[in-house]
Amino acid sequence: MARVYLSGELSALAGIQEIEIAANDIRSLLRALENDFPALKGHLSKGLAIAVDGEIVNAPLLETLSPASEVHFIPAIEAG
Amino acid sequence: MSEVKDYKWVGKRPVRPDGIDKVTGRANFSADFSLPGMLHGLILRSSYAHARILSMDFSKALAIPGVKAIISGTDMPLVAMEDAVIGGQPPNFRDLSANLLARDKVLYEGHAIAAVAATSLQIARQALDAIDIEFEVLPHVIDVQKAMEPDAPLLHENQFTQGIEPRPKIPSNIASRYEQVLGDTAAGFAAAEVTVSEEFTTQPVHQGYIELHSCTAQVSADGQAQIWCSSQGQFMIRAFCAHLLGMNISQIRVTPMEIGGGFGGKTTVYLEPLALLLAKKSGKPVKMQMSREEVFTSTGPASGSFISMKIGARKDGTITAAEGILCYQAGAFAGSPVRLGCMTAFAPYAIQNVKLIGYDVVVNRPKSAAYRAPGAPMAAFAAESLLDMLAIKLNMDPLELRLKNAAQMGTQAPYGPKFREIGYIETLRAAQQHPHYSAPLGPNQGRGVASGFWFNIGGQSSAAININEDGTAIVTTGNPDIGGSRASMAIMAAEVLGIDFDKVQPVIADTSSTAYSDLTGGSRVTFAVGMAVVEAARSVVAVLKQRAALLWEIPETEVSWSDGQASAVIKGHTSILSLADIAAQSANTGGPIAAQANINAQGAGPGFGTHICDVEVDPETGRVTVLRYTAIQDVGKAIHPAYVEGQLQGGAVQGIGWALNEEYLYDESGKMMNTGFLDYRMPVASDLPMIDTVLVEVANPRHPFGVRGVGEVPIIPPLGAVANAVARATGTRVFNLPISPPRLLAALNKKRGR
Amino acid sequence: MKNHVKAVVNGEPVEFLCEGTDTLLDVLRNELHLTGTKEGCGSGDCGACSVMLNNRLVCSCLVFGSEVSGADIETIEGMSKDGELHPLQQKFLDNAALQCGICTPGFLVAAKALLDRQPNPSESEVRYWLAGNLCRCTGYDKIVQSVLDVAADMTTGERR
Repeated sequence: MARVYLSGELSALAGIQEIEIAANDIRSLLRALENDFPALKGHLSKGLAIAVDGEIVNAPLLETLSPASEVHFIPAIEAG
Repeated sequence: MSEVKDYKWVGKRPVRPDGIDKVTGRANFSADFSLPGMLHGLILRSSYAHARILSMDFSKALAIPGVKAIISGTDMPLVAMEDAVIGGQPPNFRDLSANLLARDKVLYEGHAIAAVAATSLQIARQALDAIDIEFEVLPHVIDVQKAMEPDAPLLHENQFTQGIEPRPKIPSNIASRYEQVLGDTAAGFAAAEVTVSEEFTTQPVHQGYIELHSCTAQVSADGQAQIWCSSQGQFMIRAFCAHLLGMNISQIRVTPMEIGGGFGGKTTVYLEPLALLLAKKSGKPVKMQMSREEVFTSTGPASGSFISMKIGARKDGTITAAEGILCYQAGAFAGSPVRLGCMTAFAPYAIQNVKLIGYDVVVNRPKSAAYRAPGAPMAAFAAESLLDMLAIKLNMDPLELRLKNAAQMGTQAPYGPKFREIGYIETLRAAQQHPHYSAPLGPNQGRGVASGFWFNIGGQSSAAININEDGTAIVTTGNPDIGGSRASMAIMAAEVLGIDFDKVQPVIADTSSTAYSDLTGGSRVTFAVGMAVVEAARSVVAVLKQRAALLWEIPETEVSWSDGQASAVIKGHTSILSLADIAAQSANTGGPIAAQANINAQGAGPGFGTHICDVEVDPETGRVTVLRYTAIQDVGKAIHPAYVEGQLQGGAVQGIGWALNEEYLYDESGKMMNTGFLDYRMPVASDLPMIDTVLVEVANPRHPFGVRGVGEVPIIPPLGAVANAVARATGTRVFNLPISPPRLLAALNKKRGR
Repeated sequence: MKNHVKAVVNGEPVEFLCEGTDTLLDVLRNELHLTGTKEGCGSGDCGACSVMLNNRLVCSCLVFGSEVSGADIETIEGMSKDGELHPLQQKFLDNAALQCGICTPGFLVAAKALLDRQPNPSESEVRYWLAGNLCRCTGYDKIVQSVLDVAADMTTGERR
């Protein structure tokens, strides 16, 4: 279980801003999100980064989640 | 907060391993490389800001003896439109391809149209002159607000604004719209007792690295290609060239030359794919080098911006809401860092209601490139100016106002997530306590403060450590050393291995000689590649302990490691084997001693900085002199403090240049007028005082030594700090950068009624 | 037709052929393979190509190769003598006065020219003397400090 926060375009596509998802890692969380909100398909990776519990995770598929985890989808960070 | 450890090398200031070569002229930068029999390549560039290419004729140029190859946009394969993510950077390769060599249209003065390879530079120049091109000149647009108007000249007929539902049916120069909402700003402003709002503009500024772009490429008859060039990532060069030219990655070997500055501007390709194509077509090695004019008109810069922003607060200084619209110039192709501007602008503050809207806008200027903390300095200039105006309005000390609202562990950032361990408050307290903050000021002098935030990143990183027979060590990584990273890699390896710094030789390997690593950027190398080095060194120590156990004929668990030697109590006596002893016996104990670590580093700790700036303004000329400057930053842990100070000093001065002098000046026809360092005025030694630094160390718990990235943060606060100092010195605030003498004088005269 | 030029570079006699349009910088880098002298602008604005020409500090990109016939030229490659670093070179290393290092040869040549003329300059004199050399990495702090440190070492050395 993790609390997922959507904003901007994602939130508009899904029609929600927050949701509880039962998932042990990011991979299953993405699957569940796309399943529940087909409009998000193809939008969850392009130009986006994922923050888990306040930490921006690079290539996060295997990142594990705890029941209290907060997951934010944010724009990808560019390097200077 | 951070635990104090007694390190032998971490935190010391040894001489960098590559130092001698760099002070004796022996270090080989990009242009210092050449090959026998190589050709010289030059680029034909557009002299129009916007024009359709009707026809191109190379016949006269090709007839010149010594001209060996000419390429144009049609020589580049048409790449897919998708945003391929390579090495953390997501460029749009179709746009990148069209930026390297124009197809159909030129979109800015300096846009490359064709490239020539010839036996000498003189002949290559003649060939450029002999190319016939017919243009249809089109109306152009330089200004970001004008570009957003419905009747503005359109750069891309097939660009429809993304981020708006329903999808627009009319093409636009607005590439995308981004909205970031936290809380309810209407309620936040309703709760406010004071509000301040203003409009700000900043101009594009160039990264200004002193090294000109240059590269040499050769392609063998079997298609194997080699490139020698400087960049912020040899693996990025390899991947971009392969993707743009439809080659296999294994066909390309990139050897990194020393890099003469990048600051984000060398995180992409300009010359390399062209040199490869010319080398392939001519069958000979090709060397290309840009002129400074080409660097200005065709590479970089950072986006210019128009920003409208508003904040509201209670009388006690609590900020209740912030909102704004940020419009960034992307240059000729979509992709300004406006989202990062929205994310960072108010990140230092715990504000419950923040709404920012960003527009990414194309204009007839060179495609913007990353520049140190991409997108953040201009947004912070607006936000930090507003905070200063609020402090004045509330008659509050500007540091107290920031402290009142400062983000700390658990604060929700305006872009969503909650911060973990951060050290922003510590920088504010250090600023308050610094003697600079209480030093007296004279007439026409003022003091400004401002803060800045950057995420910092980790990413894919690799390191290999080989122990030599004599007990010395080679540390191999795949990241260009842009400001002393060899020294920090060697320090961390020496610390973990327990041997002297001088016994560690860091090597930066070519793409075929070491494992992949993301590019040098985002303030990631000392953090992320450092983590790989530490992990590899720990693996080496494990091997060394195992070898010692074999030699002593005892279980491995009885061997301990410290100060570069294995020790064990054997029959009541302490026995010792140094690293060199074990290395000398490696043949008897299982062969060479080495280890490699390949990681995807997570847990880069965010960085915060607070700067204090004193200026004196000449009321008769509008000239601003920076009298005193102090840069304070949470650096987590400084591995080599001198190079960390250097990052703060260099970033601060780039920011001072952004605030006071630097801008792209265009004439009516869209041509850049200041394409040299004489007129594009970067700060010189006589413009500046010493730049004092304070390294605050709030350890990043995710790094073995507590490191946070440090390179990006220091360029963010100066724009606001300088502008706030000028405002306090004169009582006149300038909202449009740079605060050059004519601009400030006009503002002063307006106030004086002249 | 190329010009035939004889000169002395770092104490050694040299001969080279150059086009009338070739600069001293071109000749040093491409003909004499002394690539320690760097090109940053080609217009005399950045100082990366600083060399000594007959004991005068010049931007080698503003001098034609053909002009240096019979001249005495010193470049960064000639700055350390008999394997010993010049005190400025050592101080730049000790103080971390370089980051990327591309401007460093020019700064060292220019700073040495200053100290040869004025062994005890003020900070302001150092800053104005070096105003023709651009550095984008360091903010100049550690460079200026290094020159002042060497000047201080030299004057205390003399007093001893």
